[in-house]
Order: sequence, then structure tokens, then C-alpha cells
Amino acid sequence: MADPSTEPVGARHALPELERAVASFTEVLISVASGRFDTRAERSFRGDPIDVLAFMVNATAEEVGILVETLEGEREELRRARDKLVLTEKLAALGELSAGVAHELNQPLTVIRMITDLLSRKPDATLAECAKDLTLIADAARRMSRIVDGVQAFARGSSLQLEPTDAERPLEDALVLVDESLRQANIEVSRCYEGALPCVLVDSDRVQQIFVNLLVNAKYAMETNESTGSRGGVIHLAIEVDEHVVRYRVGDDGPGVATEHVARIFDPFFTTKPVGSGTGLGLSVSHGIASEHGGSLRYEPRTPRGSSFVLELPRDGNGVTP
Amino acid sequence: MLALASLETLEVVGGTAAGRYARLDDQIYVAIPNPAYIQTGEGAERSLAELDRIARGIGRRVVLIVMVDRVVSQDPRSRRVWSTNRPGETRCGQALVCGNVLARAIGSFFLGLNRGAVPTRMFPTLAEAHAWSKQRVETDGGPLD
Repeated sequence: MADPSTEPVGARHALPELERAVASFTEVLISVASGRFDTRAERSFRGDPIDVLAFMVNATAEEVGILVETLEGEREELRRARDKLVLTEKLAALGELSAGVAHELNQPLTVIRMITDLLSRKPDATLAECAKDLTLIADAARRMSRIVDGVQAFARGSSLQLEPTDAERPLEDALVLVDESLRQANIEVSRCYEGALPCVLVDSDRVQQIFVNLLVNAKYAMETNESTGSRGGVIHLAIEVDEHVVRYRVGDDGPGVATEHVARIFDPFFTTKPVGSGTGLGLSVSHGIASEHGGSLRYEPRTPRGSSFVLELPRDGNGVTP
Repeated sequence: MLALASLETLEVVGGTAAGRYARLDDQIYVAIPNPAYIQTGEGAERSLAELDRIARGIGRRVVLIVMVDRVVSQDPRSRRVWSTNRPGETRCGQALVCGNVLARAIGSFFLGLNRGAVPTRMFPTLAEAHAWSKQRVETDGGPLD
């Protein structure tokens, strides 16, 4: 019996039939191009050239659909793995911050305790006479609330929540969390912010996490600065604005990153800290967060010594990963 | 050379609603689908289960030769059934006999997009498939786990 698939197309098919077939294949391929994979070309199952082509068009649509589904599944898995990394890094950073946060809370608590002790010794004082003390207590409580909010925001795990945010806000919020530990390490903070800062469209909690990581790293670099022989130093913070981006610089006076390590500092699990002192995820996670925002994070050596990390975030939120 | 017509003379050792299995040689079986067969995932699972039964009956790994010439369509799930890695695999090879263009198209999708769990090759004739299958049995046709 002759193989129908080897017969010339024109010998078997009338022109209208060919046109219908081509239109049918085109429909299937347009559907595939539009991300729909359930359209199929009609089959005669005769095994002739048009039928073979119909099978191949259908099988292509089926297989592309399966590949796309598989890829999407793997992308989702990667996203979940990355979120876990972010959380791991957050928990590690929270552990590092806990001593400082406890101290931060202790200060307003001491104020409240002292004032309430004082007031308990004046049982006959009127409310008007206590007004100043009550204001101090309220201020202390507000400060505690800010600190607790900061910790909660930092620890929160969620999908990217973009909101217009004052450019300096995530950096200043991060400073609230590390302020005390910097003070204890005899580290000063120098700010150089451009006058009128715009808003950035960011997930403030996540960008805050970048700054906590950078500040904790800067502190660590200066704590272990053997070249100066002294503890402490200055963290240099700068915010610059240009047409498209807001550029943050977090610099320190530490020893800087060794040349042989520069290419690897954003790799997951790469750390120069002793075992148990760091997860090696901080810069990797920070780099990922910057990318999620359509921004970038890079390292620059400081002159005459030290490190500087430069975070750029788009001013208008263009380029944000959906 | 073994002609397709001689398939009818082979000893039938099993089958499903999709067709029958015939013994071609030691540890070599031919799947002969019903004419114009359209294979679905469920059909493939039943066929594979039947092949497992046959292989366990002889206690050794077998080569399956599939007469794809008789198949007119195969859905993606059935391609995956045949190419999935399984513990206690009973096959040591699969040969696809694809003597016409449609069969070659079906075979190409099977081979190109689904790297098989076992060595799989496409052949234009049953005789060539048979020769390769014998080599597979010699190389890898040991007893079942």
C-alpha cells in the first residue's frame, strides 16, 4: 500500500482544503504565541502530509504548554527558595540586633519607671501638675512603639509591597535598629543627604533590610579593623539623586574588601566572617532585593581605605519585578 | 529480513484494548497496536503494566519494539508514561519502528522532547529494530531486581 504521507500535497488536497488547514495551523500557533496552549488543529488521521503537519502543530502546542507550565512551576519554586533565604537572613540579622534593640527599649522604660516612681510619691498631685511628666511618659511609650514597629516590619515576611516612600525613610528606619549597637562599638554616623529628596516606589521593609545588612557589615568591618589598632570609626551615609535613580552610599573606614574576594561577595553563603558569625547570605539577599526593585547594589572601594556599597533604586519604580 | 506481514505469525503473549504483544525473540517483544490507534496516557499505562507482567513472567529485562506505523496520534501524557524513570524497571530498551512520515513525526516528538528512562531508538524497519534489540538484551538484559 502506498504511504499517503509521501504523496505530493497538491495531488491529494484541493486548494480550499489546503487553505482551511493553513488557517487552522495558524490559529493554533497564534494561540501558542498568546500563551494559550489548548487550541488544536483538526486531524483527518489519514497520515497524509496535511495530517502529519496537523499532528506536529498540535504536538508542538501540547509540548510548549507543558514546558511553560514546568518552567512556571520551577520559577515559583525558586521564588519560594529565595523568600526562605530572605527570612533566614532576617532571623540571623534579628539575632544580631537583639542586644541593641533591648537596650533601645530599656532607655524609655527607665524613663517611664523613674517618672512613675516619682509620681507614686506625690499621691495628692493634680493632673495639671503631672502634665509634664505624663508627656514624658507618652513620648517614651511612643519611642518604644516605634522600635517595636521597626522590629516587626523588619521580621515580616511578605511579597513585595511597593509604596511611595520618602527616600531617606528605609535608611533612617534601619538606623533606629542598629543605632545602639553602633554607639556601643564607638561608631559614629555621618550623613550627607542631598537637599530635596524625592519619593521612591519601594517595599520599605525590604529596602530597610538591605540597609540593616550594610550597616551591620560596616560595623563588623570597623570592629575588626586591625590596621588602625583602635575600635570604632565612622559610617558615611550619602543619598544622591539624579534623573533616573536615587543613589545610596553606605561607606566605612574598615580595611575594605580584599581584591580576591570582590568578585564573590554577592555569592550566597560567601563570608569572610568566622564560622558562626555570619550566614553569608546578607549581601546576596540584599542584591536580590535591589534587583527585585529594578535597582542594583554594587561594591566600590573607598579612598584612602574602607568599603562603600552603592544601592541604586529607580525614582519612579520603573523596572520593578511584577 | 523480517517482513511486517510476519508479525501475524508471532506468538501472542499478551495484550490490552490498544493492541497485542508478540514475542519476537528471547526477551524481545513487539507491541502491535490496533490499526489507526490513538494513544492516551491511560492507554500507555495499561500497555506498560501489561509489558511489566510479561517481563516478570520471564524474570528478565526485556526490549520493547513498538510498531509506531500503526499509531496515528500520541498525546503528551502517554509520551511521559513511556519515558518516566521507574524503580524496578523491566525494560532495557525501546525500539520505535517508524516507516512512514507520520510515525517518524510521532517518534521524533517522543525522542526529542522526552529523554527516555531506557535507551530508545527509532528505526525505519522491524529488522533493524530487531538487530539493535538483540544487542540491548546482550548488554543489559539481566535478571529483574
